[in-house]
Amino acid sequence: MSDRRILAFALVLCCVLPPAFAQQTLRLAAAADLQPVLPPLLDTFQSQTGIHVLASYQSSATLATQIIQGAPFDLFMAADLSFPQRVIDAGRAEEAHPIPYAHGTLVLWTRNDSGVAQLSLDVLRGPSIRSIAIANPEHAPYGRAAQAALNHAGLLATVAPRLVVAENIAQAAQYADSGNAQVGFLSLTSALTPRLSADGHFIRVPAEDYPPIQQGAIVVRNSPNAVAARRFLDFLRSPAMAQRLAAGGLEPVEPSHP
Amino acid sequence: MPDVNIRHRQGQFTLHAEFSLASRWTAIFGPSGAGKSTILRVLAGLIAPDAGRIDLAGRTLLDTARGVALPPGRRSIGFVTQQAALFPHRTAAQNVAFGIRHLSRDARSQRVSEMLRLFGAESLAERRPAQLSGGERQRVALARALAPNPTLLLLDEPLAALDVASSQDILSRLLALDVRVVYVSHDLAEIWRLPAHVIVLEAGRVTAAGPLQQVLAPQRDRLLQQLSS
Amino acid sequence: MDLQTLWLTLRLAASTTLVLLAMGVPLAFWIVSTRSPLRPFVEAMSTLPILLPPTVLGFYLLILLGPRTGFGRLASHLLGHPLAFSFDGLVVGSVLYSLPFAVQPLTAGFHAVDAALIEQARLLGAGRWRILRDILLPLSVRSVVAAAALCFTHTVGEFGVVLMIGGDIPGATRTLSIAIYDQVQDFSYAQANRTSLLLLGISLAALVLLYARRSGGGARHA
Repeated sequence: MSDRRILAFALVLCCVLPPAFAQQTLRLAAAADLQPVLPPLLDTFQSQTGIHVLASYQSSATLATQIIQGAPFDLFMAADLSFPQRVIDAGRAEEAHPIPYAHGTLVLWTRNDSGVAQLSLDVLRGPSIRSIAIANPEHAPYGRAAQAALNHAGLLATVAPRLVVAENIAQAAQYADSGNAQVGFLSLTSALTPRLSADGHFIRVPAEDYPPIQQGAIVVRNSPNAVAARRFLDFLRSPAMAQRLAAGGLEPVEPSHP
Repeated sequence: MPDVNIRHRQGQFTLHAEFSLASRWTAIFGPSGAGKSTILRVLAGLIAPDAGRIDLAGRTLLDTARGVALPPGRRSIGFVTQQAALFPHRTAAQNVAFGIRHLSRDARSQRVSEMLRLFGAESLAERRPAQLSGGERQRVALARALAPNPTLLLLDEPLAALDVASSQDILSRLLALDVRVVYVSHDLAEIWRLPAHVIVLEAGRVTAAGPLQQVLAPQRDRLLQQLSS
Repeated sequence: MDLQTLWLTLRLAASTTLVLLAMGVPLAFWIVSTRSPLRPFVEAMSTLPILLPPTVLGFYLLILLGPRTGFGRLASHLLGHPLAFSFDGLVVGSVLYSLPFAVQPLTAGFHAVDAALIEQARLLGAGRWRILRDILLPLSVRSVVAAAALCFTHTVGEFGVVLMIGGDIPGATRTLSIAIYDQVQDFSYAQANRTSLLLLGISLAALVLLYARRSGGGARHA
């Protein structure tokens, strides 16, 4: 019995460990909005370079805290520029400025069966919309953008009692997709996933209504894989990959940025 | 027709007992493990036997053939064991009152005092079980069992753990009562003087029955010989 | 300090505790007294919330409470508002989440009552309800208090379920633990520390009350 247990344990170890032994591994801390788009690109990167990328997806705030507290990541890809800046201010980054790698798009999403006929910001004004999911504006970049858009439309005070606040943009998508919130301010990356495309539809919030969601990255200080990390960022900004990111909802950075 | 006829299997042990409750006092005598306590628990309705019938004072308490099985509370049976099993959070008087809730307040407190007096326990009314000695607890337990005026009182070695003076006193009080009693013991000396009909139980079977001193005389002689040798 | 959040947390914990006692006492009584073959299944089900990570439990609750299930629609119809993102919804979630913390101590307490006492009560004509009220509950006071204190503190410290079904609405669903999480996410560590101290203080007070009562009870019954 105990022999068999040891064998089982060894088997589990074999399944978990080989990539670490076999090839270089890049540990990536990635913002939650990247989860729908990044995984296939990681596979492409590995097949091109042999570098395996191990990604953890969480809110930018949680990841920033973890890195500042010494979490062993090599690369941090946030959903805005402020969280990488915090890591820089804490002396935990190789860079002096966050490296922009894409910018996000805010959408207003609803389930097809929610009874909202003509989706628009203006619809939110009416009393028929009882709950609106947004990510927490205090610390989630898409939440901040949603708040700005509502403010710009002069709707913030009207809808404030009807806002349900999710911890991050992925949870806001859960609130809306489960039907608990009638509409939700989501990332374009969420809205373009097969699941949400099938369940609902969306409109893009006009880009001029909110400050751009610039997404920035930093290489973590003293990372043993700093070279691989920069290589991965270059790979993401190559025209072919930028196109794939755009198809998933993340627009390439403006040409003015390096 | 016997009043009691029960069959019950418990693991390896099989009880098959038939007897009548004709006498006012019936003693069930036998060694440990003979099934004496099981019979009492079946009579009380705490164990449902595999098959059997129990008739008591013109009422059928159990008839498995007809699917009759009165619950313990409706059999009009009081049951006191070696362990008094008093409710620890209630005073002696509250314990005695437990089974006579249907009485009016006055009738109830009168009945409680009467019952406690019957067993010389009237001074214990306001005490809790933790403040009572073993003998005092048994007095209260008997008063509690008799308060609803049961048709039958089952006693499973109720005096086994008591000193001689207490047990003599309690026994003489019990003998003065007008209630039908089934008394279980494995102690010949304890039951020898009871004016009882006896049922001797061995390995789940009734091996002898009849007037107590007559049926148990051979056993008594054997015991006396052992003591003198 | 945010008094609204504190008050909401206490109100949630108290409501949850009351509902859990009202549900847990009959459930535990059924568990200790039934001969139904369903008993092990029901007992296992009532323990299951311990096994599920709170956020997973919360996720399924979010689905269950939502307008896409019959239960969610029924509750929404009865209450006049959807359960998710409401105080009532948090009570439902917390009740499920803390169910084992009510049922386990109560079941253990009822089991510890001498079976001979129950038999005597039955012989003296007591029905199930009277046995529960006059024998089991008075003799399991400590277990009832323990269950209440555990449910209360467990709900005060609850995070994952509230995070999933709450929606962080001040005065309705923002509890102390959510407030702490928000403060940590905002890098407001000093504020988070103060709120955490408050949370610990409440739980400590509840537990001290519990243990004080426990030793007092022990002395009385000794």
